[in-house]
Amino acid sequence: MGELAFFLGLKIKQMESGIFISQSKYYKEVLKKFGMGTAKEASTPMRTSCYLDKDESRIEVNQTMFRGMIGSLLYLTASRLDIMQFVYVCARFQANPKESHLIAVKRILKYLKGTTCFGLWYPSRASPSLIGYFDADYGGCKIDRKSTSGTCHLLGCSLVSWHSKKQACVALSTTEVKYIVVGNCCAKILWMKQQLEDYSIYLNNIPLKCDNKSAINLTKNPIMHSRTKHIEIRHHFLRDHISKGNCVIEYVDTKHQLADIFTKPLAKDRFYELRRDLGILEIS
Amino acid sequence: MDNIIGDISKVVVTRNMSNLCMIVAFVSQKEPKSLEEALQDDQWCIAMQEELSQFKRNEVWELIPRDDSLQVIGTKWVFRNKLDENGNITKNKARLVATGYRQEEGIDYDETYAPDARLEAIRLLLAYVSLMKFKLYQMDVKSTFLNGFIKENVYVEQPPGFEDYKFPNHIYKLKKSLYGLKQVPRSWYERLSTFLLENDFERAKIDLTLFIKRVCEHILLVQIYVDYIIFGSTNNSLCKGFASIMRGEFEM
Repeated sequence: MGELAFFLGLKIKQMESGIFISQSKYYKEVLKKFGMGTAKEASTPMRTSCYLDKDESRIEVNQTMFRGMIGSLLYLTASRLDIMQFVYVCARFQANPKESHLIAVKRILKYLKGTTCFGLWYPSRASPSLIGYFDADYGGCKIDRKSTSGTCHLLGCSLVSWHSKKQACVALSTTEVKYIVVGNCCAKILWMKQQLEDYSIYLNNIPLKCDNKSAINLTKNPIMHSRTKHIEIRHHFLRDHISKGNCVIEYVDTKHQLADIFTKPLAKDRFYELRRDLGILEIS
Repeated sequence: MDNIIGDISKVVVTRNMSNLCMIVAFVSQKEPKSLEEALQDDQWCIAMQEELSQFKRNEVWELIPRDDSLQVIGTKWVFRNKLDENGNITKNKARLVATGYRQEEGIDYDETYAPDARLEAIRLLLAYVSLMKFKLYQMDVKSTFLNGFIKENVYVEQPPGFEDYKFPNHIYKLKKSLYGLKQVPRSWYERLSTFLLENDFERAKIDLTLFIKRVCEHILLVQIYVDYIIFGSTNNSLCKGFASIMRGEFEM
């Protein structure tokens, strides 16, 4: 018997002021494995102007190595959610990776090289409340014009769960895009709510934060007009849970929208700000 | 000690060096590729005997005469060096495993599903613990999977290299599960969960790998992840009590 310090490759540091979770040893192994030990560091995982497409004319790269890189990075997302969206974007090209995709993956590795000491910080000074954030970009994927949804869930100030995914269907408006995400977000929140009941924390009217007012109105008012009447039943799942008092949708301005980081590449300052707010810090 | 009766050709060991040298002296540096190779090496023989003594202590099996109508599953040795954080070899580990790929559904095993904790659930537990300001502890059960009871009748060959000299043709009937069998994780989960439920723990409603015990205002949480057991409590004496009942039941 001993204090919990290492679990499934996660290093867990328990301190008076909180808990720090990191995978710092694993970074070094990954960087060494792919020959990036001496590479230059990058400030963000992806350039804001970076669009990846199928890139059919360019040079092919070793698929096995590309898949290996993606696999190693996917495991890192267990504590490093700041690279998650970019890894997922690159992972879409695993079937036929080209040079431009490899450059994008290497940029992520370069970013990691500069941030090996970073990990998740769970501060102890906070109130036990749940908050969900959800956001989506509109038609972010240049190949099939599907949107990317991103959600994250915090208990107190600790980021517990996060998610980034290209949506399965093409949406017609930003409202519709957000309306699809919020269904996912709500399902996750319900799971966390039930789990917390086992810990004797009972929560109701859990706020889900969104920066789109018409999506919020759509959840309140079940009017079917020409722009929304085609939305599938499964996306109206949320409406039911709002009427039961399980969660409420609240407005948050784009500046404080934490889920932004899961939907698109951001500029350096904004990226750093969100990363800090999500609790990804450097503690040596 | 090593300086007096040790190898003459070795340099004199100072106290600073002795810690490292002890490890080098008592641990084999190479992983053997075959059983023959392992049997040549004293350290690996010791490791294998250690594993078999673990079997004896856990009463894993009994020797019975061979019957041609019984399906017998082979056994195999697996040799692995355990490394510490700096990559030094700290232990030679020999593990006897069953060749579970020879098992047939319906005969050798029925149900193999065992619930598993989600990483998100672990993070939620960590977040909760940090809010409640208590410490989490972990414990390891030795040869975890040898603790699970087995319901089906499964027969295995004698371990290669360590056959019984009186009955070399006998086979073993398993009472507990063996590494490599398909139903192993499930039988371990069942053993542990019944033990916890007998000790006034409650299973959480959704997460089947979380067990909770409430005493007055205090709460004791036990999260299991296959062979990892993480636990913590708002009251430290509850933690100690839990550790001692676990030690009474399983070998740590």
